Amino acid sequence: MGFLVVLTLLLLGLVVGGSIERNHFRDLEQREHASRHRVVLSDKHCDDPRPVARASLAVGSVVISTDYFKQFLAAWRLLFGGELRGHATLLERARREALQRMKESAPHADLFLNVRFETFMISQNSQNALGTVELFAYGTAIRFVRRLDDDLDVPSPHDARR
Amino acid sequence: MGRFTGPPSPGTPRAAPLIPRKGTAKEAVGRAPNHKSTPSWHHPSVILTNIDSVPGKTIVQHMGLVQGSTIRAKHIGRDIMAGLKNLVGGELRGYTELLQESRDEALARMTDQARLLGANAIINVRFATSSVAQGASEILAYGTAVRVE
Repeated sequence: MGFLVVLTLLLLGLVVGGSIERNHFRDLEQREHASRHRVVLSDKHCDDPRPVARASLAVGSVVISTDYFKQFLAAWRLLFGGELRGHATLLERARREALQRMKESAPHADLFLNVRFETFMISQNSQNALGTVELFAYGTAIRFVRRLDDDLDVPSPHDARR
Repeated sequence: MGRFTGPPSPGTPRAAPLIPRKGTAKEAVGRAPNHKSTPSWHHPSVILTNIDSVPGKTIVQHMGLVQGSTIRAKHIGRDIMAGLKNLVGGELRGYTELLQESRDEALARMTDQARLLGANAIINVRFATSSVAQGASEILAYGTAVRVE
């Protein structure tokens, strides 16, 4: 009986978890493609000569967990060693999602400087210590001055001269 | 660089009052932030960056370290839902919101401290997260308060 329950949970994890992951990757690819012109840098300075209209902190975060099937596989891996592929894709998804949310939280920004990631393990019990993870991305969003009708609250140099 | 002097013009809708409003940090933060919209902690009178300058402005005075922190515990209902979600994987929205709210609170407290010092920007903002107990975590935000022109 207990065996059947575990088997059902494993199948559920494999089928539903796999489909959630595939959908997530597809969604991420679309959103990344849509915002590919807004560059993310891990540098602290950029050499762009344009004047900066506004700088602000942009943050994005996500809490995500693996499915039961991958946790099961990981438990075997922990016995024999080797790469934990299931958890590698989990962290990749989380990192891309957090970065994408950071970009979407600052829709006016042209550039993101000094972008950093932080990983925080949320362990519920000792069994699935690797199961749930929070990924947090933050950086400085930069918007350059536009020539005409800048929609932000910062006065443009053209206004000041008039 | 540094060509924008003076406060934003009063007529613009997003210009903020320079006098601190009455109320706690919690009120300043607002409720249940949605990650898709502009962060609610963003107070236009204090600029936050995580680099050592404020692009487009010049730093005229350093006011020292400011910090804000909060310790939050998980909600049991959220925890049960998260346990169920753990079987199939995917995002745990309850936790995402919980951590986002705590981070907003920490940022708001840090910002309040900076405004008390008379600063109008915080540079080099960093975050630190630690588990203080089973099911509770501390979120700390800190940075250097400065005055920019």
